[in-house]
Amino acid sequence: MSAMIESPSGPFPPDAQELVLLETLKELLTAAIRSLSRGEPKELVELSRNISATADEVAATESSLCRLPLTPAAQQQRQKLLAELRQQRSFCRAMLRRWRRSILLRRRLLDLATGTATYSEALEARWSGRE
Amino acid sequence: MSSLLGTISIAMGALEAQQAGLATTSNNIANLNTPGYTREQPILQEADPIINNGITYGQGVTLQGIESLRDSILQLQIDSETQQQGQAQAYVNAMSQAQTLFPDDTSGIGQQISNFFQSLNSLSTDPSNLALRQSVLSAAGSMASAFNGTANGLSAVRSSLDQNVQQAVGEVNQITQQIAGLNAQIAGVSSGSQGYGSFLDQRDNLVQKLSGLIDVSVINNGTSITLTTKQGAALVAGNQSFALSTALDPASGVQHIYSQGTDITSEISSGQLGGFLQARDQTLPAMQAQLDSLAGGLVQALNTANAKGFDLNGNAGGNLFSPVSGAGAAASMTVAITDPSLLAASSDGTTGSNGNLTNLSAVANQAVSNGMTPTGAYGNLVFQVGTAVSGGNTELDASNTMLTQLQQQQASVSGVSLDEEASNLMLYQRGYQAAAEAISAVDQMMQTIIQMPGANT
Repeated sequence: MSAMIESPSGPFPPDAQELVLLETLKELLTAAIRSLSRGEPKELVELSRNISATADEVAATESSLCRLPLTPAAQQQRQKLLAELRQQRSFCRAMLRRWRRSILLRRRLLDLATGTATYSEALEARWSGRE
Repeated sequence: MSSLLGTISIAMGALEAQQAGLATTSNNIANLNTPGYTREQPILQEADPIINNGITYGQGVTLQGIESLRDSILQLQIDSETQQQGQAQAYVNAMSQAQTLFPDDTSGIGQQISNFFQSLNSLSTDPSNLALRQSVLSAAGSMASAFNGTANGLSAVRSSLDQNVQQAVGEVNQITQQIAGLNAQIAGVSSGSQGYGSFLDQRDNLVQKLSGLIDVSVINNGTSITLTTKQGAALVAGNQSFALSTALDPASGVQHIYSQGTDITSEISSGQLGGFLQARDQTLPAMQAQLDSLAGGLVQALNTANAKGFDLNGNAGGNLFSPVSGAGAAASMTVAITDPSLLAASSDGTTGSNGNLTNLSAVANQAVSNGMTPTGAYGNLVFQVGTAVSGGNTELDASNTMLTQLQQQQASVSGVSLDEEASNLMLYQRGYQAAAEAISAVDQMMQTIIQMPGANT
């Protein structure tokens, strides 16, 4: 008999619980992508906290799932959700990498303009090995 | 006290200033939809006052010039992201072409491998049947053709990328020449004049276009800019451009890029050239090597298995495929026999034996390339090319999104807002009317003075 997990709306079998959590994760990542795409960082901190907490819950649920076989339908839905989540995660990472690069570039150039920085690694790299 | 003529001079100055404002506003409105246009505004400054008998009189307004509203840091961020976008776009295009060579339908290598092993299974039911033996050779031929086609296709994609590299280098040279020309023009124009902003816009547009092709570092030297690649190869310095060249590298057989005699191919990592080079020199050769390894391993395993058996004439089995290994194995894979009776199906030399077909069929589950079975190794290749395309597409989407954000920021600084221009238009118009009124008032006063009794005597 499957182990049951208590939830606010009643007990769920672990596989259903995992799918619910994966769906929640997908919604959270969709919201994060929306924020990243619109260039609105305000909500990201809270979203990131929720994503992390939900991901932890997924991991905890998965550990109990290891002992249980999934139904083919649940397995298929799980694979589909995981593929979508992977894609969402890649996009978020790519955007965050760009934001970070963009912020660092602006900061470095502003530091150069105000004279608080003398130069950058890029220039060192530019001239290194050419002397 | 200021004279009437002095007051006219002040009003004239005001007329000139308001007219410049109107002209600038009109120019802004005219360029509302011009891509890359940067909004301009007149720089007005209060003229130095004069002091007469201890009283200070203002001297009106002077037009200092016309300035473009641009954020140079934002422009650098856009250039940087354009480089990433160019790289991702070129890479995705190249890898999408390669992906078509690894289909999931009946024409792909994976399906042909399955068909070949399926034909061996069919033969095991009647090992002396010549028609079934012929089917095995046909399936072997189709499998070899699939390997040949895929390998040749990969080479064709690389060749096409090689041409793209040459073409992109040509475009880089054209653009750097134009930028050097603009540097010279900008140096000859006063920074406050109206054409100045237009030249800067043109140069910014060209630098962004160049960023789409190659990784560029921009060093601003006042009016002029110096452009180098990220690793320091000179592209433009003042009014001089430094052309890149391409030449065939005998070792790799592809075009390499040179800057003043130095090979800089490996230094270019972004822009379209970065994407072309990454696909041409890294991803595709790695895939070709894996395909060759799979072809070589499969041929060797099948030949070894065939050699363990006996053909229909009772002779020991020879090579089923012409031996191939290393680079070019997949492109040169061919079936070594045309006579179906030479297939070594028998394990004991009798015609009814199918014992050696078990050995041949076992190759399907044997590690033939990098510890993987034939279908496993092919599946790995399909996965790799799929991952490359999907990863490239994610990068491209992120670059496009980021560029949109940066361009929106730029538009808020440099873009033309019709509301703002309409309000400016009214302000300058009112200013012009008021200055004209002032001239008219002074004129009337002068008329009054002229017509005063005794004024003409």
